[in-house]
Amino acid sequence: MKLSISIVFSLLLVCTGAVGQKLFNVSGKVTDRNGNALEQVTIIVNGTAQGTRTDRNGRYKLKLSKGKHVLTASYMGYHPESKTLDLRRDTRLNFRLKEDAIALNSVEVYGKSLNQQIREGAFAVSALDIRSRASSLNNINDLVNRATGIKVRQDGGLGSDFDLSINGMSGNSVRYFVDGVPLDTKGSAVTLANLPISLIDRIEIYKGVVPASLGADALGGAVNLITSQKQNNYLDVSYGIGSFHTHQGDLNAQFTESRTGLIFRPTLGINYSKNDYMMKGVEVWDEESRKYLPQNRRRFHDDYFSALAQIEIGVTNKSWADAFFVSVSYSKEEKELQTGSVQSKVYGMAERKSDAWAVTARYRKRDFLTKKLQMNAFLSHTWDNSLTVDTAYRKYDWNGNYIVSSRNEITGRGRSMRHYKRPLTIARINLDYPLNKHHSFNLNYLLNRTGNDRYDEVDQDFEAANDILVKHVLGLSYHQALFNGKLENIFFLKDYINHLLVRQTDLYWQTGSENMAGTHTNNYFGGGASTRFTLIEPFSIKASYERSVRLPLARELLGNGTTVYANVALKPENSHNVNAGFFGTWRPAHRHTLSYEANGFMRYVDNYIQASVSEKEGLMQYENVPAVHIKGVEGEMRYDWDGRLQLSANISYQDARDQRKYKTDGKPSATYKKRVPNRPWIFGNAEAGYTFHNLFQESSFLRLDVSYEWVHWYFLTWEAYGARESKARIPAQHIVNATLTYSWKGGRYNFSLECSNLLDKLAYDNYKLQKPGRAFFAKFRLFIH
Amino acid sequence: MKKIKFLPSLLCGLFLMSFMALSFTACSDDDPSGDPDVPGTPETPDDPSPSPDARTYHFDIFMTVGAHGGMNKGDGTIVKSVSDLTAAAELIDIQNDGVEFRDPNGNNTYSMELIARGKYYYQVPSSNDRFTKLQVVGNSVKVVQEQPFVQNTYKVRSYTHAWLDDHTLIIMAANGDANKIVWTKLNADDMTILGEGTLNLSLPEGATVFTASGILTYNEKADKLYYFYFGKDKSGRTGKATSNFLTAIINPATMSVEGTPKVNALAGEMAGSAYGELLQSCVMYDENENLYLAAFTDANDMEQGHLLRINAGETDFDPTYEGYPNADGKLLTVQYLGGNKALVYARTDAEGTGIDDYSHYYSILDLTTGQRERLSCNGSEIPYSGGRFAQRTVVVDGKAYIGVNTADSNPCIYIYDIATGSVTKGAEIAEGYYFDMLRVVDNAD
Repeated sequence: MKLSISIVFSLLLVCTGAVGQKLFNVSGKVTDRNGNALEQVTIIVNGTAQGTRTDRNGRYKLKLSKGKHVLTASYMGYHPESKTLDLRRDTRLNFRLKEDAIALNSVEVYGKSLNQQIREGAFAVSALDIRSRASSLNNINDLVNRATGIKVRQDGGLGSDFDLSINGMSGNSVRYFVDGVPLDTKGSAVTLANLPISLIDRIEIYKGVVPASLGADALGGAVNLITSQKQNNYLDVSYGIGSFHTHQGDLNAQFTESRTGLIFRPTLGINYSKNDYMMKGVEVWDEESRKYLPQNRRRFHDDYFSALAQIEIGVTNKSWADAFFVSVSYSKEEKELQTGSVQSKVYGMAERKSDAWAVTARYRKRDFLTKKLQMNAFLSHTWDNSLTVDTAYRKYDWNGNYIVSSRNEITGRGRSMRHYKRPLTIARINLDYPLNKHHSFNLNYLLNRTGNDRYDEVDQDFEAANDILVKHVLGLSYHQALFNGKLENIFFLKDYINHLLVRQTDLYWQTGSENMAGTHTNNYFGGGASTRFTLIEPFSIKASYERSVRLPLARELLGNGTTVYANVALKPENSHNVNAGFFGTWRPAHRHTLSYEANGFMRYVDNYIQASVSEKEGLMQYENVPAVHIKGVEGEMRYDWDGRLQLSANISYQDARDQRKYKTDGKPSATYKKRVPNRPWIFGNAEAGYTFHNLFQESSFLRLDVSYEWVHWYFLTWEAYGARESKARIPAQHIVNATLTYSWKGGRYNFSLECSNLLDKLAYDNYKLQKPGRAFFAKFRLFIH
Repeated sequence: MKKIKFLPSLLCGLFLMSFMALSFTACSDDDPSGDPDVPGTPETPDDPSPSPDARTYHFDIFMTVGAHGGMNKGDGTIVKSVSDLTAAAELIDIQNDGVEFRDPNGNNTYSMELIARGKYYYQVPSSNDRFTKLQVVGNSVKVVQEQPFVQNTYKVRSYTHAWLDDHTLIIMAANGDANKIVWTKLNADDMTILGEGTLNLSLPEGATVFTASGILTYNEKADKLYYFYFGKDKSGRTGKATSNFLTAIINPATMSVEGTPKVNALAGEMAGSAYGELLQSCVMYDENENLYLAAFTDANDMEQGHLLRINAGETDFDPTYEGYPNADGKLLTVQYLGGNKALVYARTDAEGTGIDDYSHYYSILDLTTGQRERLSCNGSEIPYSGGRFAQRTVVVDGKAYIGVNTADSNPCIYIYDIATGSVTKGAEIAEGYYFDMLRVVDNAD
């Protein structure tokens, strides 16, 4: 109570003080060491809640009272710089920032990091800093899974299939981008689970309402991975080794050839694991008792290998281009399949392979054609091939033994080597035009053309087909920043055009291809708005709305050849997405920072595309569910002390209700308005971290992190039907992870040791698909710049 | 006023009921006598079925939520056991009642396509690695015995079966390449494998694959297994049959095919070619051990049903017999009632051929004349039902319990008294679910 009174009193003092004193202008420019203007640099007045950000030209302006002030300029990837001034008149104060080897959490502590700025924008977004964790993180999904409202459901260990949901929307309603370009351009095998971590600087996760500039037809949201844009040469290389014979290696570097000015950016990421973790309580036949007995057995056919190699070459700061790069990348994935969609189906020979070549070009130019118009263009073509091998006539058990079977492992039919060739062409043009400092426009066009050429090397009866899916997404947005940035509004319109050419006809009763043969073109419109208003620095409100449309993915429409049937009759999803919430950052005392955020959301979805597991055959198919309504709330608190101690916690509640009034026979459905089964509906995370600076030697730090993940149990099937004691459940999860990171020589050398699932708890994200138990991972990272 | 208004209706109803008593499907229970002219008609008391409490059997109702249970579309099958299906029974509902049809530890999911006999169910579960013998006891599933595959392997819901006796079960299906037929003989008591192998059966001329399971039945009179099957020019659903279906005669002791299989001259395809009789009954025997098979032919823009017969002791179909003449659609299930009568479930193709189309109906069929009387109650024909892949009928204790799913009312049971031909309305089933299967099962010990 005393504290509350003090807070209110302090706030009143600040407000009245501000009103009563004469204010002077403080303005200036922030540049890098080469004199280039830096945009979005945070300028804060130490010990107060005042601050601002630089504009496109690196300029800022503040109004401060007479007296002494300390201003700090901070920006991701640069050392923060503080300057003291004794203000007696309007003053000009410039900053020249030096690049930082590794952006520590100090960036977040002493100023608004870019992540915080993104979080405090008009969109509902989670912003995650990858760069500061690059030395310890071994899987981006691990971090994403701990964000508010996000749930990553994995089938198993490294490289296993996963589904990411945002505010309860299925993983395939979520679109992935790298710097605004679809991640698919790197090949279908490249995912959040295997992308080289050193390549990524930070992640923006948009919830429900997605900026038009991303060109996304995403219903549930979008994940935008922002790559590192360091200016100078560097080498970032790491190697990790962990339990279950896991090895990971990353390399990311930049080299500028001084004579020609050509910039070379090689990237390499390799992941390998045997995933031979212990499966607990699986059924093993005991001949003596003639019973299946629960036993612990190691996985024996779950090797995973992935590689991504990329070289990007280009130039910057030319008269004809601010940046122009071309790149070639190759990705490869080989995955042994241990089980079907439930672990009672044991495989011992089946495997999936894929590889992809991609060629891309990107171009950026300010003052393109006319002053202030910025052009961003991207073009890529990807040759994406995948193969599922199911040729063994064997039936395996959890002992690793097999009998010679009369049929293959996955489908129970004849031998199969199913090839999918999915050539992908992506073109993106983004035009950005700031009318003035208050108003700007953005026009974005995205073309996505996917082929689906499939054939079987062995099964002569398999009907080859070559379906083509073309999507055009056009987005126009208008951005307002009013009242000195206190009010931010964004309005946007999107147009989606879907063109489908279906040629496959096999399994027509399952895939619906008999009603959808030939070509189809459909046009859909969407749009929305978002707003943010800052009343006082510790308290802002924001709201956003989008009428979103999501065109089906190739995988959903055309299947994956193994565990996912095609369903070419799928319709686009559409939804009314609403977010509303409040947030703020409060610095009650020097070195103490408290941030909070609370949001409510609604997703009113029609033709929701949902994966239905057909357990009886171990296969899946995506289908349109007439409607699902999801409502939820989520909240997050973060506390920081002096850049040393960080505490955070979040909780998410999502309530998805079926809206199907009628069954397929036209009679009322029992599931109407019932909670949709087989999805997490309440979960939370907590994290604590402490950094010891200059431990053992100068320019070093030791950081300890502990995280806890909790998911409430949930039913596999509709909860109201069948005796509760007989119903299948996905059990609750209580997972504790701990990480120790030591960095020395100013971040040049880094070593981390992680223990995931410290308490060795049984964990399932999906029904009877056990995830790994306790695991250790050690990583060494060398960062030279 | 209400009484006065009701009286004419009551009199009218009584008149109609007495009129309907003359027909096989009369909705009444006031005619205790059987038909003495029909051979094999059992001597029946007023009501041969014991009271629900005294019965040694019960009924299992298989329902699914959100999607049909058959054809692998289910969101999870729930089985509700009830002892009484008469109108006196409470509304049958699975809200917080019934058992999810999976093993108690959740390792395996069971299919509603199964083999039922005595107290037990038998099936290949979703793991596709074993044979399972199980029971539903109240709101729990009890795994009685399992047997891993040893040599031949099978897929859930894609096999056919036959009982040689109460203790010997034969499972049979096409292999993965569908170019051979594999079989396994099981001791149904302890589920040990008595033998297994591959039939010495060649693909029909021009065929590259067999149909998935075919129909297997044991003809006790002939002491032979009869296997009905056909070949297709290629695998998958786009494959076309290369001929009418064939009949292979198999020696049950040696499992060798005897003689040359014969191509049927009367019908194109037997019912249930892909899933055997795991869901729907398409083979029956009368008291004289004549074998009847539901079949159909693509003709006249429909799948025209036929009921074929192999006379007792014969190996080929009687070319002079057509038990279901002038069909207006596909004949889906057949069950022998006694007295030369059968209960059949068929479709009027003109009303729709979709799974959920309300185009399916029940009839009582005279096996000699082929005359059929659509099931009626209170003088009205029972409207069409939805549910192509359904087996909602059982015959026990002189009665046929017939589940219907009509468009305008709750699913319910009609009870047909075999001796009197009367039909009474029985228990109702709560709306909102898919009601696909009804089984009668002996009570557990």
